[in-house]
Amino acid sequence: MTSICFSFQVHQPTLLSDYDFFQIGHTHAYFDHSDNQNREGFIIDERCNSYNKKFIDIIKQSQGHFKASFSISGTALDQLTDYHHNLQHSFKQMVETGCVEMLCQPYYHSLSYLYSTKEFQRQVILHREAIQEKFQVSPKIFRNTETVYGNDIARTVEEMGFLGILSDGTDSLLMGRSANHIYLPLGTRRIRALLKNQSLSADLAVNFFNSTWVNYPLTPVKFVEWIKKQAKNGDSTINLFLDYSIFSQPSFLPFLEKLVLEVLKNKELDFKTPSEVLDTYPVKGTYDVPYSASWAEVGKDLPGWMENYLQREAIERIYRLEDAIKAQGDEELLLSWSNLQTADHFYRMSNQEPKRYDAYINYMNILTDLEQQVKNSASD
Amino acid sequence: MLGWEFPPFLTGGLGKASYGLAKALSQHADLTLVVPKSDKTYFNENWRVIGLNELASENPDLASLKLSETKPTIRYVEADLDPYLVEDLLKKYPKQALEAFFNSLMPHLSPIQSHPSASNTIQEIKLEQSPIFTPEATPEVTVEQQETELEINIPIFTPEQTSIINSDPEVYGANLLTKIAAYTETVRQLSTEIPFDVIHAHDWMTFPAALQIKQETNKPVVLHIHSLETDRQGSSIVVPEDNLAYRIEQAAMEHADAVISVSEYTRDQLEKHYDIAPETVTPIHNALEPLKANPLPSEQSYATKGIKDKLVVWVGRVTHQKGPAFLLDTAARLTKVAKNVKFVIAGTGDLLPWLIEESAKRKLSDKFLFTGFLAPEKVTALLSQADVFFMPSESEPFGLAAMEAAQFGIPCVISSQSGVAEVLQSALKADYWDTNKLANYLYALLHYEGLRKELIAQSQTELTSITWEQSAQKVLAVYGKILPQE
Repeated sequence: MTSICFSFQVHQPTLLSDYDFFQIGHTHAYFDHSDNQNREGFIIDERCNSYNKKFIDIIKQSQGHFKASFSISGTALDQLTDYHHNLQHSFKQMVETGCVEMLCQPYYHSLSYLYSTKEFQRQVILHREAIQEKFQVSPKIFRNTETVYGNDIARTVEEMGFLGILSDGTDSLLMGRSANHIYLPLGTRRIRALLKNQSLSADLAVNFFNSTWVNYPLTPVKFVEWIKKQAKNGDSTINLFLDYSIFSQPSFLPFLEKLVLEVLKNKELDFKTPSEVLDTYPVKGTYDVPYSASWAEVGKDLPGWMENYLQREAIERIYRLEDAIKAQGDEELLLSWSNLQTADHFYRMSNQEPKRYDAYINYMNILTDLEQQVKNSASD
Repeated sequence: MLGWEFPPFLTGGLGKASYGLAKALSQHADLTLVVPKSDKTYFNENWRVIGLNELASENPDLASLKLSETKPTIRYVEADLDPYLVEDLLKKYPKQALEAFFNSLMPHLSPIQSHPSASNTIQEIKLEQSPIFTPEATPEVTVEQQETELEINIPIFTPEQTSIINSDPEVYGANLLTKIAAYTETVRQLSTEIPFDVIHAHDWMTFPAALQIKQETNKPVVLHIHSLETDRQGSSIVVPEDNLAYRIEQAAMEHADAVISVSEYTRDQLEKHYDIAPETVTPIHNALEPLKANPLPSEQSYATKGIKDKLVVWVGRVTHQKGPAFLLDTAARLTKVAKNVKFVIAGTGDLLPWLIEESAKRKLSDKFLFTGFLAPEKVTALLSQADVFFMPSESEPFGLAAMEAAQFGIPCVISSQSGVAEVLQSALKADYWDTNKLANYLYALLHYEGLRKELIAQSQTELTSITWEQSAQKVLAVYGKILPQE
């Protein structure tokens, strides 16, 4: 038997407002709480109700055989709570089908692990509590922000009680082994690593929409053939990690609906949630990703998030505030500081972003004001 | 190749660009460059540079051209002789006299009819379009205009006269049109002595000569646009029918075999203000010579900086085109918040007195330092202490100075209305009128180290790929298109 294990990331940052240097020391309106309607690209809004409804329909049609997992960031949860009650309710309905597992992640979708274990743990606990409160389930599986992974991260979340952790499954670290198995993170005892199937995930996330791709348009039959080819080797699980924004592509959910039917025609294939995968299949070996927390220190790049001076400077300065902010116990400042940690803010400063300088400058203006606020309230 | 400014006599980017391109081209083509002023002792190149001043001082007889012996000394000229004040000249010379004069030089210079904003007044002046103008041709000028005391002194130059004109130490200045006339005549004579296949002319001062030789030899002509009258004067100020430089530019382009612009920006300006179809213009960006030594300012040179404040540096002529009003407004906004900043203005120009007075009026005089004209080595010294290079030009065909600053490791804030913005990814760009944004950028560069480091690192990478060789290859491709196929 080979299981297909979907995991969808639902995330939206708390957007920053346009904040020029004149505002430093005068206003503290760092965040744009308007409904983000003018934002480019995917946004979480009422349209998602229909996506979720369709998704629940697919589960029902499969009579509970189709399963998946979702990881909703804390900043996205905040927006559901503040603006989109119906949508929050539809996620709850998904969970109530018993076919959807909720994963845990750092609340503010931050790269905090790379700078502060203490802050990382605070955010993970915050998120776990939020999931428990909103969905009445206790997450057992952890997915770090942008699936940043390392032996030490696995150890840390194992200590926090998690049974599984998602990882990108970097080919070079697998040393020729298949990503379609469960591995034991080096230096851990109980926690298991679920590795992303890079090529099949990319086929859905990227190639699926590319009309110049040789396999365009991808049919459910073709995709199932590829899965079966991999399953023939006796692989346990095909982990497809995708972004929730894919739901907004008109062709995706109809494809998924047919794919589910196609998969279920095969006796040797099924769908499982991450927890079920861990309960079902044996460990294949150890998985060793020696670095992660030390990335920041050794100046290693995290492509997209920590690849240039802008990002390093910004992220280092935000974490330098940790002790002072926590010592003061000012909830407003802590909230601002937390929301400024979201990885998206740094991604907007990455080399491929044409407006990276503006993004950096805007962020640094805000950060400068926050630093001043912290300093001022410390001297009060 | 016909140039106007040339090292070591520099006032702006034109001379540097002509030199850089000519040098790279000379590796691939047999090149002769004719400029009003050169100093053979400054160069030791394998290609020919003919300075008319040197012809004049040696021997006005063109047959005895000697083209190479050299010994280096360096001389620079003050940049405050403004190359661009044609309007003033027009006041000095009766318009009709100049029209007649340039018609004689350039038979193609016809009244402008295609430009939408051209009024019909120009059509009243029906000038004889004879190749060699004589006073007898003037009767076609209307009576009304003759009343305006039309004492036309048409220069028809003898070799002695051209020799005297060509010996003038200034290449621009008050007698610019006379100089252009002399240049045109001398080039025409030279063209019979020197073999060539393509005429490549840099900016409007050389266009009459280019079209003149084209007419006589039927060789193809390439016009290279480094700057336009609409940049120099402001497009809203230039009245096409009254502006001779504009008319020379437009008439020449209409008759050229190819037009090269130093940027896409300039190509767009050509379409907007000259009705030149963009597909007929090839943008070829300027480049830089690699620096000989490590250009990055060392800790030591910072240590010698006498001023504690952060320095925002402006290098260039202080003229309308360069946006001094926006500089002032940006400075006012920035210094309201950032107290430790000074603006260093290195250069002179017709608006320098205005800038000095206005900065005092707005109580900003303590935020400004005026150096006057600086020789290149002084500019280098200044750049080594600069924190940011600032160029808020209203219309900058290229803006070589910004690229030079980047080469020295100085982050740049420049206006989007510049050609260099197309190649310098590592510069921060905003519309010249958006002084709030410009000030925001300056503030960020002066306060956020990550941005500074990132821009410097990026400019060092990207500048290595911007070479004159690349530009020369593109120019050669343009030649290839217009040369008769063998």
